[in-house]
Amino acid sequence: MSVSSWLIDVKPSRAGELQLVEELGPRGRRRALFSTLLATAALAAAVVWIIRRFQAKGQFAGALWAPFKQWAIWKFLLIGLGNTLKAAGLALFLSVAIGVAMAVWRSGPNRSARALSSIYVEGFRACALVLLITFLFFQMSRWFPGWRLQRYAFVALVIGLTLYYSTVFAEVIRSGIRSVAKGQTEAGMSIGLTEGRSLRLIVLPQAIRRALPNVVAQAASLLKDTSLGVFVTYDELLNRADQVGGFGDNKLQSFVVAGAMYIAVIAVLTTIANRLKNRQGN
Amino acid sequence: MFDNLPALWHGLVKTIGLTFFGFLIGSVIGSVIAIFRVSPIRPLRAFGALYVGLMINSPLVFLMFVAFYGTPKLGLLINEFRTAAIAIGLYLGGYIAETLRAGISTVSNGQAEAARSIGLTFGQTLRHVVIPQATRSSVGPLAVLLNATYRNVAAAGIIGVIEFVKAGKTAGETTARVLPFFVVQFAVFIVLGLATGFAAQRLDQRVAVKR
Repeated sequence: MSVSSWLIDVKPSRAGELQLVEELGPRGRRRALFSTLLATAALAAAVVWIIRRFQAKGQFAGALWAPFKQWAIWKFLLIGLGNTLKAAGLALFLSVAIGVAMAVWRSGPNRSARALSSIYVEGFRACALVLLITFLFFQMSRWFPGWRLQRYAFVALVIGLTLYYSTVFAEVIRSGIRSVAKGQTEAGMSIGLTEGRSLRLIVLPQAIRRALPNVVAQAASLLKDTSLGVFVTYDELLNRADQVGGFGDNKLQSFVVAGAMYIAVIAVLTTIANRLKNRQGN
Repeated sequence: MFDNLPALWHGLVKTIGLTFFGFLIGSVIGSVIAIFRVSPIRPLRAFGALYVGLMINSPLVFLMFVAFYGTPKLGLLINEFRTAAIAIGLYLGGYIAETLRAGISTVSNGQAEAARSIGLTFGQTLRHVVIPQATRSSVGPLAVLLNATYRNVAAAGIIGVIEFVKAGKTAGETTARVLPFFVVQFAVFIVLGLATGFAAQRLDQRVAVKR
């Protein structure tokens, strides 16, 4: 009995969500227990099958994982992670700054600023990030000849990310601006501020606060897309994992290790975003 | 430029194909995981949460690499296109599961209570009452996801699929003229974005649940 009460939980996993089942009776419990065993067995069988297949190909052999016992390999990968964070951090800073400006112009009273920011946002939002980054990488070498290769890669990656993510942040912040009550702007204007100033001084701070969970969530997405740096040979985590894997003939293992590092960092941001979202929900 | 238009066209077809198959695989995985996550059975819930957590926090390029180097080790010898479709499907599975779950939580509790009070089981409640409403309110978010997907499938270029972006890049590098290809591709993306955005809006309005 205690096993089944541990296995079955009729409450939804988050408070306030849809509750789909009542407390089960003895027959329902038996049935639930049976289907649990069946489903768990099927999942376990799938996992075991994958593991057996990998084992048959010797993918768990110590030699393939041995490089990750060395600090030098970790250091090599961590420098890659550092480069990833460097590009992501700079792109995040720039794109939030441009995004805020675009959101304010697009919600403001000036018609031509509104039109220009609409074109900017709708245009770059529709473009594939890989296209922007690879194009910039190629074109940069024509506009600024004589740089080191890594510098082209870094600049192309940061500008590409900034162009795309500034439109994302602009939309996130604009929806924050729209969620602030109209009375706030009116109150600002009634104490003698212009429409633009009351937007910047009164509405914007509240809008940013409301948009914060989404901003953090999109920052996680930006960090994920920094991995597109491999398209332009930027010296980041996945690129270095590729090199480690090429050296030890264990690419799968290297990517798994690097991916785990990526997932760990991104999961921190995602968790913060969810916490902020839940806190605002209450 | 004009000599390379067929190459661009083939790339575009591949991009749309990857989006289609990725979404197909992702919908199947996503539906199963979403049901796991709302089911009362703890191990299934935990598995669903783990799956979503892994996929939502992984870069797609990383999944491409893992699929590329992993599938041969599983004994699956498939071409790059199918490998990429699997990677995109696994990735989208996490996102579609989250979208559907959000859709499920827009259904009010009274609906589920009413279903139970007329004696419907968990499966019947989901099938006849919750899922029809949940999918309709998920149409908008799913369309946003679709819109992001045909741009994100460009990640498949890293494992050698000549999709739209890669086709343009290759053509640009062989002709040493990158700018015209960039302009054409940018324009195609904008047209695609406007078209899917418009279609999604129409569909969303048509299926909206009136409450």
